[in-house]
Amino acid sequence: MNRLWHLPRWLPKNRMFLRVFGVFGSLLLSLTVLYGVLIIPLQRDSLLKVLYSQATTVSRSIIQASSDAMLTDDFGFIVEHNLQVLRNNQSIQSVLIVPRRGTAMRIAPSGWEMLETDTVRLKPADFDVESYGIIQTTGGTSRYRYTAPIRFSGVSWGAIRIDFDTSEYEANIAQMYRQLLTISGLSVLVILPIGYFFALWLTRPIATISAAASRVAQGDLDAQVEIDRNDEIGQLSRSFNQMVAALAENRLRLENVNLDLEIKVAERTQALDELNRTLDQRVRDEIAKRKEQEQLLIHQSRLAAMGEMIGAIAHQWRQPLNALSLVLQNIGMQFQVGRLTEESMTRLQEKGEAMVMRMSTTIDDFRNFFKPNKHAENFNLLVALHGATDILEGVFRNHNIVVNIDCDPSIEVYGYVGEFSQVVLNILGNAKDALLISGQVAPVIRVRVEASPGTIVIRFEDNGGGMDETTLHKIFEPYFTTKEEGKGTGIGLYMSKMIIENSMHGRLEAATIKGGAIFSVTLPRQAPKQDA
Amino acid sequence: MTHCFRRALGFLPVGLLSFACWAAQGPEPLNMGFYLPGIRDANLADVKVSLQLWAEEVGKPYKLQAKALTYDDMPTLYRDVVQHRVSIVIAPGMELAETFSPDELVEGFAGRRHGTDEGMALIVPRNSPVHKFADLRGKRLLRLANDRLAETFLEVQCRHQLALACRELFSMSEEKRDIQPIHKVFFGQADAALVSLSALYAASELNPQVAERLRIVLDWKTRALSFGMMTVYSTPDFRDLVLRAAMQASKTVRGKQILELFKTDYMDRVNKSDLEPYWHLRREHQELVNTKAARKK
Repeated sequence: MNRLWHLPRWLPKNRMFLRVFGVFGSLLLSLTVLYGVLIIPLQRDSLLKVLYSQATTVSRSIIQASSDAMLTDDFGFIVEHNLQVLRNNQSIQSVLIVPRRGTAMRIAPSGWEMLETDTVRLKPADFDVESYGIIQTTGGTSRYRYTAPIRFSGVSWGAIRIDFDTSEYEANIAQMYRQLLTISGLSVLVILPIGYFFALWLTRPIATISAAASRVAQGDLDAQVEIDRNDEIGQLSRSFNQMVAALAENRLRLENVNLDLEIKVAERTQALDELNRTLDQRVRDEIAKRKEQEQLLIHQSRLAAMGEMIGAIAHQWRQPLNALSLVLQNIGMQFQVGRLTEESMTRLQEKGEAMVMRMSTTIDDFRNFFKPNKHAENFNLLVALHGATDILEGVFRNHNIVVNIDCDPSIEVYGYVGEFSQVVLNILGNAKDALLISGQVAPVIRVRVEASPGTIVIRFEDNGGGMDETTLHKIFEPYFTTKEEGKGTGIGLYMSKMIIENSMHGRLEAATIKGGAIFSVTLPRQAPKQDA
Repeated sequence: MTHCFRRALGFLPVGLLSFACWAAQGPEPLNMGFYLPGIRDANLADVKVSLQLWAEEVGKPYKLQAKALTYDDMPTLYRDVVQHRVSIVIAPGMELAETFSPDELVEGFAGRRHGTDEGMALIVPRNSPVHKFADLRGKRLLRLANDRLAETFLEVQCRHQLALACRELFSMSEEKRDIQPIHKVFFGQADAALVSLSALYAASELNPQVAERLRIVLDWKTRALSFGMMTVYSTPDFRDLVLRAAMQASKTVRGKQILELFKTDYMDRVNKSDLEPYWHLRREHQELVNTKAARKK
């Protein structure tokens, strides 16, 4: 930009003006020079063609007019005729007539002379073909030399050489250069003011708009441009003014919006401050509420489990109770018929006590099964699986459900065996319900355990028909159940997932397979560090 | 332009300048009489137009009605002079001498060139056996056509030196332009030629070999070959004006242009004594012819 300060004062300093001015001027000047560069060779060729045409015309004229004289050796006529030709053609410098035999003649405006043929520098080819072109003399001047053979009826008589003055040709060339220079100079003189005003006309409104835009950019939305033109620039200026007016209006509107926003922000900030002050209390309340809900869920789960347990006990007790009833009926009937002997009484008593003992054992088993573990410990997986299936044994037997367990007896798992058993009971219970709903003729539940160095995967697979996609996505959500109202709480699998993933750091997943469902429990092989 | 043409037109500036001077004196029209056969190597129609234009241009400053009159024969020209229709006579010296008596011509002008003589020359090739006029017997001789001076001169020489008419001594041919006889002799197409000295000088200027290869056997010199003469039928004042104008001709711009146009260097004042060689030649010719006629009788 500093270079601009060296420009003349009358020259506007904006770059666009200089570029337009420069491009305009350079273009016109280039066109002028290009025109000259292209036209001068053409003119030069044209002038040479004129010289050639003139040379051939003069040559033919001389030969035709002097033909009789040449054939009769009337050299006087040849000389006089050529002198006359030279007088009439100021551009001819000399005519050289060289007969094949005899003496050559050189005729010039200043005189003529006879020359010995051997002193004339003509090439043998000059007697056969014409040649022409501009030559440079030893004196540094140039001339156009035309040489042509002279033939009569196909017989070579000699040759004629005509030298033309090239001063006119050179003057024409020089004049062309002068004209080119003149045109270029005039172009410059014309281009300068025209280019100046053209560039000014083109760039001044743009500079005005640019300056106004700068003012707008600096925040002055009162900037307006006064350009009264009916072209695109005038339209641009009007659009600019409209844009600035719109900007001013929008800025006012924005300021109002900002003001409202600031008020709202202040209000929200105040509310947020209030919220921050009560946030801890609310978090504590939410946590307590969540704990309460979890406790409620656990309680509901336990209640459900207890329901299941009571059902199971009922199944376990039904047969011994019937047997015990039969024992009591048998005692009563024997007593009425007088057959109650001490021996039979003792036998029936022992039988009854055994049944009562069995029922009592059943209760103990259930109580032990549902007794909560206070500490994690290693337990045998097969034993735990059998413990759970034994509880439901009566139910399975009652519905002809076959349970196959495929597990290595040596596999041990670290965790809470009671809670794990509750999970297994939930999964088996759901499988039993699904098998009953599906009406499967040969209901089967397969339990397979796969152990790897890092994990143990327990898969519970049934052939109860499986689940649809919706059920599969919601199966672990709390209170979700597909069972009839009153038969399911919807918290069993939710609690099971909580137990496996939170308490035992494993995964519980469900999937549908062909003809049934599969629940996979993945447990770590080793105890987690926090529990170790 | 050949010498013959120059000779024919050499007196044109004299006439024009005389006309200019005379026109300055009064409104009386001025007519110049040109003898056209004396003008060679030019288109006569062009010459007439040129003479008229020049006359008008010269007369224009004097607001005179000027006219260039051309003639094909001297008797008619003589008649117009006697009847005051022509004030200046421009013609070759021999024709003037044959038409006018010494009492009728007074003074006049002639265009001349620096350093050259004027007259006639009999030329032959340098190695020719012709060394004197008498050696021309049986030779081929060339001269200019319609040239009364050459014709008269040859007849005088033939009759004077050999007492015979020329046609009895050698074959003679005529050429239209005075350069042609010179070239014919130069190239060996003729044995001799009678040419004007100015033509010979001009040919030598054009080609120095001409001077080297040709030789002058006989010559006849005079002040000029053509003249612009005023007669006793014009007033002395008019003649004086023309004289002074001619003397100034070579000094003015227009005068120099006219001199340059007709290839003359300057205007020379002549009087009737300069025509005396012509009158003398004419008398000699008449005497020789009359002598032969008397012998025949």
